[in-house]
Amino acid sequence: MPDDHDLALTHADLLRFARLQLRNDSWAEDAVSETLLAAVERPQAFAGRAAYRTWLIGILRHKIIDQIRRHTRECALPDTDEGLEDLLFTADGRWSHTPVEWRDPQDALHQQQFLAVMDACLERLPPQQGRVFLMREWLELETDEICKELSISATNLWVVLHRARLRLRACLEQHWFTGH
Amino acid sequence: MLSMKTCREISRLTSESRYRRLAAGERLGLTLHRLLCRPCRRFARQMQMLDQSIAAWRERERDATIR
Repeated sequence: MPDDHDLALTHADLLRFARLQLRNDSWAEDAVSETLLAAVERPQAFAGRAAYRTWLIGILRHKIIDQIRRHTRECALPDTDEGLEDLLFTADGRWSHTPVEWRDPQDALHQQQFLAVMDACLERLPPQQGRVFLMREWLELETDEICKELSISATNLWVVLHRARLRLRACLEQHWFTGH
Repeated sequence: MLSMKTCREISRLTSESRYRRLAAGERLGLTLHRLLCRPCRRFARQMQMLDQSIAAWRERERDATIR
């Protein structure tokens, strides 16, 4: 079994992740507590030290989905974030500013630094967008599962995902691909 | 005759193509628009890089051994 130091590290990691996904501190703490409780209650399910964190994250994914399910109504607020699209495009639907060429993100030397920028940009997404985007990209739920959990239509879901992508694009462009 | 879509609509279709299979007409509209529109070609490349970035981020989050 992992020692106290491992557990403390893992706890901080799980909490950071639950917060990023749920955008609500008390739901995140509940999800992490339930995860650690489940881990303590059935340690025999854990197969080896190297995979401990992976195993816990697997449990956390389920506990996060439980939290979303429990708070469907609060999670399913309509997305009214049209501002960025209106800024990016003119009234007749053309680009206000022509997109610029990006540098390659696969530059290995900067990999850690780049992922830190990515973390910051994901944290900056509005709560509804962040939740939905990570349900898709981190929890890897299918479209129909997300729609069911949040009681929203597929069309609504695509709009939210699109706006999240536009926000990430703007954030990454500013802090990595052109600035830097 | 195909009605030309705006860049704003094309950007939305570009995102949606990641999440659902576009209809043949939509795919044709997207391809034709990009043939004629350099900004939208560039946007499409940026979105590919965004997807690569997300994949790299997800990999780091999943990989228990680096941390």
